[in-house]
Amino acid sequence: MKVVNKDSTQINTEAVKGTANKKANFRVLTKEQVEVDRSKAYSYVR
Amino acid sequence: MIDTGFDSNALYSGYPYRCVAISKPADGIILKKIEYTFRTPKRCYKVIVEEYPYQVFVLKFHLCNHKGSPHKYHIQTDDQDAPRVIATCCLILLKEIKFKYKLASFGFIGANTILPAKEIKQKSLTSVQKKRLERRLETSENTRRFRIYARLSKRVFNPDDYLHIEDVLNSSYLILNRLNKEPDLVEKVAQMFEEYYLRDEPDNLPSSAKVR
Repeated sequence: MKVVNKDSTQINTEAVKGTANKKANFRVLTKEQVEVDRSKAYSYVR
Repeated sequence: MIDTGFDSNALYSGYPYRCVAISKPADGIILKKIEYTFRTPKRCYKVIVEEYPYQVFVLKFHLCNHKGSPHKYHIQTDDQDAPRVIATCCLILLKEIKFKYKLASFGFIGANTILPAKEIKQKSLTSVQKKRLERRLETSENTRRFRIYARLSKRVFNPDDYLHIEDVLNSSYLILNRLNKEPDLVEKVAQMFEEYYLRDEPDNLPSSAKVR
């Protein structure tokens, strides 16, 4: 099937197949885990 | 570089934005919908902030001229302007929501990029171009948008004040306010998110909605 958006750009449908009936798989991050990533983020987020 | 707007540097900071509509959808779970627009040198963007129960806010943004497309959150512009666009959304989230709603929590999904078919079906590609193309093809797991937004969220929302919850498989992320003393908030919000967001992906749309 061809899928075309409003700007007449043809979109690849393969990329969005197979995501039906998704189940959430949430994981709570500890403060330490967040802090590690926060320190990395300083290089490009101010 | 993404500037959250408080150490202002015009090169990286957000664009001026304006609120264009506030509505209360009659049906569904959304309590309030606030719409903003802003312009970059090349494009017009629409930002939608939706309020859900338990003071959960979800921010979405897309190009104004893609508003009718089911893939509006999946299209990449290649304008090389993402930092300033993301910084603008960040500014809206901080100035309009975080500072006004003291118990506000947040959530987002990093949509996977869907490339135009003509780009995928190109035949005469060099091996370097092929590798580059393969890198850009994404499923909904751990998307590039998710990785960027998650890192930005960790930087902006202090873990002492907010609980960070991630779902790498579905590229979704929750930032829950620790001041909100609602019992079982994590379970309630996660369930709400699964029900209203993870099942609302483009391939779950009726086939008639896909063809335009």
